[in-house]
Amino acid sequence: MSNARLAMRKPSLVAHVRKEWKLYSFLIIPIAYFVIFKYLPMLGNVIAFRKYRGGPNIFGTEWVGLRYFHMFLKDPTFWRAFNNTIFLSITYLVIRFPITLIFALLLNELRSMRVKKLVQTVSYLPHFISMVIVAGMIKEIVSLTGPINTLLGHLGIEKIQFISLPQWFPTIYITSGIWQGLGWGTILYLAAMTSINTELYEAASIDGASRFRKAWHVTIPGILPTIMTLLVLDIGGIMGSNFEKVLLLYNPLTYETADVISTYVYRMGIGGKEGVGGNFSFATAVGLFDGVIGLILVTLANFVSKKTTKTGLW
Amino acid sequence: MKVSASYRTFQGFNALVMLFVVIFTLYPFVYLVAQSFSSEAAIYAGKVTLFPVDFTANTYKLLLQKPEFYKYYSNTILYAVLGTVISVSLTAILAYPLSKEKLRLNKFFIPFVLFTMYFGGGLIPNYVLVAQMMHMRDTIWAIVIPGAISAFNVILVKTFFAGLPNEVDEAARVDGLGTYGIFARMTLPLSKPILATMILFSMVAIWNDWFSASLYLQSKEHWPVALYLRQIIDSAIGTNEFSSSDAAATQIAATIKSTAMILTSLPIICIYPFVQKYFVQGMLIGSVKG
Amino acid sequence: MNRFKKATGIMLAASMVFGLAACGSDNDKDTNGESSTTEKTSTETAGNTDATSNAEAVGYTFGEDTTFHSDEPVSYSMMFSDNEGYPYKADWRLWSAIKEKTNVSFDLTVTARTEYENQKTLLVNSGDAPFIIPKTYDESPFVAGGQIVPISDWVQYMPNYQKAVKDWGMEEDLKAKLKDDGKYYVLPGLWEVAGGGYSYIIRKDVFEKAGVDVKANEGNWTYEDFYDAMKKVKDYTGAKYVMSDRFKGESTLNIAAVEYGVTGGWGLSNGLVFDQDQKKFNFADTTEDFKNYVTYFNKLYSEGILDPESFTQEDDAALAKFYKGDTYVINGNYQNLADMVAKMQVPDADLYMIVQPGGPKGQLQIEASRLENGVMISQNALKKLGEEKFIQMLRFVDWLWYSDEGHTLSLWGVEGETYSKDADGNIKLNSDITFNGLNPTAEKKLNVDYGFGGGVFAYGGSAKLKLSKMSEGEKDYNDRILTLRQARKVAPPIMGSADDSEEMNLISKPLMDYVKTMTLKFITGQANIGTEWDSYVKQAEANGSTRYTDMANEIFEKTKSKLGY
Repeated sequence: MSNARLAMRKPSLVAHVRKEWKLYSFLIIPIAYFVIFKYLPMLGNVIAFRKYRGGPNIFGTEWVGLRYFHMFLKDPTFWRAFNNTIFLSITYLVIRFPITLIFALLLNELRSMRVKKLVQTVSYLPHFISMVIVAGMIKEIVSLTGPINTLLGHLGIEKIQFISLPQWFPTIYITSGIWQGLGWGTILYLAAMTSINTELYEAASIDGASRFRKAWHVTIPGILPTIMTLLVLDIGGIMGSNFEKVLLLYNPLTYETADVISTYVYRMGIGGKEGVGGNFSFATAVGLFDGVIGLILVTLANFVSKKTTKTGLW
Repeated sequence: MKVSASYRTFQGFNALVMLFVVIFTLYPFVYLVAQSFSSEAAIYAGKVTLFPVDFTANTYKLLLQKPEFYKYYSNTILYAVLGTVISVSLTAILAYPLSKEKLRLNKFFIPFVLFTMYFGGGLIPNYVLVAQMMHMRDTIWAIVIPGAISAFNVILVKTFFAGLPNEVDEAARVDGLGTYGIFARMTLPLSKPILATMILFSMVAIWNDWFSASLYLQSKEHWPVALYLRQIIDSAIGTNEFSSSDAAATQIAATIKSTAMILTSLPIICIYPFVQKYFVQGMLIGSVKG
Repeated sequence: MNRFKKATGIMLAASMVFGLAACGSDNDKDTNGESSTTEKTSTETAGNTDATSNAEAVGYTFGEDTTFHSDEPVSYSMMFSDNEGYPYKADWRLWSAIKEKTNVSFDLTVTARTEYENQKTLLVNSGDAPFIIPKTYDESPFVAGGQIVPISDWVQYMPNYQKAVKDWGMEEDLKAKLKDDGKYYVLPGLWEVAGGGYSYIIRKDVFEKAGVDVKANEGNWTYEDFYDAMKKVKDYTGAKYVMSDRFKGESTLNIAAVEYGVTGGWGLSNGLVFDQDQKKFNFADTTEDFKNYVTYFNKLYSEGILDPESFTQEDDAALAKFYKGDTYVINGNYQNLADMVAKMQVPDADLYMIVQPGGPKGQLQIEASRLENGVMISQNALKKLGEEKFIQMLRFVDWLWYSDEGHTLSLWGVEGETYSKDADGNIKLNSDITFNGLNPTAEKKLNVDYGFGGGVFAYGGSAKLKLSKMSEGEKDYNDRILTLRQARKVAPPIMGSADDSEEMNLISKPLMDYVKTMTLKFITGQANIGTEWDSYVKQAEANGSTRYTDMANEIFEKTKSKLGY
């Protein structure tokens, strides 16, 4: 269908496809994959508006309009999850973003290539560790017999049951996030830094600029497109949080600060440990709401970024 | 080049920061290793912080004696290998035409792929699709197919392909290679860094995946080791599964989690440094837009 | 950007067309489904006479006191909850024994116990459930989806089930399972007599040394008295904590809730308690009763009687403390007790299971219901087998889960191989096999090595069968409960329509999550009962506690005549 429309505008398109059909043939399987595994589930969101009863009716059995939206918008637990999601994401973003950038700049200043490689190797490692293990580690480290409480004990401070205290959850979430993502977060910055024209640094040196000035006036402007791209992506990700990590770390005692939209969707849709037969339509409605807000956010951020720095995702 | 005092102070400070990062990153691993080799009494008394106390490797022995553990481990290896083959080939054959500027329909296909980075079907619709429409429930396909291509990876590979010199193409054509021949015999061999990067990403993603397994795989015999690990961490695997002797039971309870965590992540930790130079190179070229 | 928009626009338009077409065809299928249900009612009577008049013609034998046996080998798909205590083995004698007797084999979906509830939800909701879905504690959330057979329409084909219901007078008990259409959707496990259930396992030796005469007191002590006793133990032993609970406190909170007239722990449910005098539901978990309940546990907690880790630690950690003699009270059932005796690391420890203490609401029995978790049958069975074969399957289920022979097989195995019978017909487990505290030193385990006595099949049954697996201690415990504690009446079911039930489920889940969180916070002092109580009540209200209760009462008013109220 799209071919036909485009063809009308550009009569040579058919000829173009005919000429390049071999290259286009590469696309058949991957694009089919995208249609089935990425776009069909988007259509599946229709069960947010239709009652899903299972069986062969995967698009639901009857229209119910906004029934499920009304239900979750009335539910204070949804709003708690909504607020927690935004709070965790923004706090994490505000803390992690500058730290990662500074770490990348510091790495770039290292003179010994061996040290630089070593630090990179070590700091990338946690990125490759399964969330199950990360969560397991966290639990061991903050447990009553773990090293943090042992240290507190030596300092004469009473032990803290970190994992069951809601006020500690954001700290655990953010610290472990930085632990896991600090090194990996620098990789795109470092890549961007290598492509900065060295003449700019030389010119700055001739002008007598210090290291700090060079970082400020050459490096940062040089990697600004990367910074903006990552920032836009992160803003788009505000409505998502690290679902697996929260799921593995939270418990009823910490729901108050830990329950996020994705875990709420999971509990309402599938049940989790409590296993109280989930409601697919309801969970889909919440997920769709979340996804649409995310899409709006990334579009807005991209728009602002393009206006101000002329870089954007598209 | 003169080195100012303030610059030397800065380098010293910088070295300290790096040292801190290295310690901060490695300490949890060190602690896990120490705990896994320590006695239960020492762990509960909070004596273990850096080195094993009352060294014992008993839990390793017990876990390594369990046939299930090998079963789950080999499942994981199978999933990782098959999944990686599928994922990397699909990504490469999609990225290749997208990297060709002369293809006018790319103006449609590239946004089509990119859009999936920003919006998707959500947990339940994806489940319904994979489990019900595609009938992949409780099969290996549910693990290796749904996540096979990520738009982000496609962009990395596409950028890398686009950065390859054009002359290569022309020379190959003169040698009589067709479109498929150029792709297979010229482009792919020149793209080892980015392909290695993709292989690593895909392997790791599948190795670490427990959630889709818990969603799609009912039968325990199909479990990957990550899901088994999750059961151990949740203490859902009773210690009496490992030993009926009672004194051993409390020792196992204290060390089984760290032991299982180490044994499960070991392959990644061991292989990763060797692949690192490829993916740094791959990411470098793939992410920097020409 | 512009081009991109257009392109996605086209794409979406195309997919909408596709999507709607898919919806259309699905609707067709749905109507087909309905017409087959109407057929069903018309043939039901025919099937009935057919079965009673001539069993031979249907290709299998069945009936009261008749072993189910199919002429042709058949296989039924079934979910199986794999307990890590006795992991599934394909070569268990259990499977071959069932096959030998009935010519039936299972096509099992073996799922780990911990993933079982999730998988059940996913399989049933997506319409791909196996025919037989055992170990279902609450079938209500599945009813609205229409994937479960309203089994009460079919129980006339199940002679053993019918007999048990009639002989043991279960009709009243079954009313608790009715839904708004007047049907029920699960075949519950049926016990002739209610069980003793969970209680506190204590170190009687230590209690007595501390000056508590357990046996003289337990008959009429309340939770306050139990507190005094534990206080004495703490003073006497100087222990850091007297009780370190297992099951994350779920069982303790459950059994205490009954005596305080509230809900909690495993029995948290929807927070409603039925007032038998006023004939209406109240939301119990924001009442003064509930305040007293959390205040009590907060007292145990703050005075160092209850280990602070009770609500977060894993079972193993709690047990380790008890085995080592660091603590003296732990929750459990009698089977747990039998298991624990062997593992005590303290010489001469005397473990004793007390009857559950009473509370403000009296000295009540915990187990009010004689129903157990049960079996759901998926609509897929009816669809794929057709009616006749479906009835055949039901008769097999009837035999395995409800006949004496089936019960005995699931629980004790094969006569001559795993057990023998004495002259009076009493069952005696072979001396080289251990189970449930019987023959504690034997090498082989009935559940681990043979598959018998497992939770999926072996539950329910006559009083005699129940007694057969009890040690003297357990019999004594059961007798104590029956004589010292009063039975209580079961609450009526809330027979809401599908829409009502859906809405109520969606209110209830987050509401009860909140109640659960706050229960633990009040107990552990993270929330102050004195100052934060009112805001708790208000928040529960905002979460829909009153709306939920009102809906329940409205539904009850509409349906109470059907229930005999």
